[in-house]
Amino acid sequence: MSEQPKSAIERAKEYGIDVTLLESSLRLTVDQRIRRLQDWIIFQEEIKKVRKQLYPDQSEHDASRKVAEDSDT
Amino acid sequence: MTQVEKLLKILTRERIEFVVIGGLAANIHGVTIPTYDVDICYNRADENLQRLSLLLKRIHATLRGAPPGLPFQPDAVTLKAGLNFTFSTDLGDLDILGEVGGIGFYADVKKCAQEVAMLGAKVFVLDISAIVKAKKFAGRRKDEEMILQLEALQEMEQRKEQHGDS
Repeated sequence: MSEQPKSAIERAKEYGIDVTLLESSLRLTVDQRIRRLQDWIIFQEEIKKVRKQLYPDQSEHDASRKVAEDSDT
Repeated sequence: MTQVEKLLKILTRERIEFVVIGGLAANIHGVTIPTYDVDICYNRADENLQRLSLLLKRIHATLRGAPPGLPFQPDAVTLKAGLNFTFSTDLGDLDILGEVGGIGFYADVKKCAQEVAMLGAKVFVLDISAIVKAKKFAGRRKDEEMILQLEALQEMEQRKEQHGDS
């Protein structure tokens, strides 16, 4: 008997995707999803400003990597 | 910083014929991977190019990544001569595509789009299957997670419909 192909949700889970976040996302309206994205963009802009303050002499790429390393510890 | 809401509203208000594609379309469908620009596929009919070029001038569109001082005017003739453009504007990054790889030109893209009520208007957004098709066509490794999220979202929606609780 051939094995059943995995569902898309199963494949996503195996990849490491938190499908509960997708379920939450589906409960939002389209406008809410757009605003969530906008909030994320604003947040990233703030992070960029912090990076520049912390590592003024580094290129954006290097500073970004440094912040990521620092946040891992 | 890209002002997604403002860009979508101004495109609609200026009666630009377009379909939202790419990462923004994916986010509208529920994907949780952020995107930093607005990608659209635009109608290349003359009237639409005129309206689009007026808007691009108003929001001071310049070619993203081009050397500073490179002369560029986003007029209708220039848009007609090109196809896909990546702009920096007063409202952030805006990519306009005349053709979407794996799907086709505006007419083909619109056939794969659904009209979605958002931000007080109705906007055409590429459907999940077509985004997946375009992403698979592009063959970029970075799109792997987005494709899996889109397919999972599609399955969740289908299950909801089957159970009649949509």
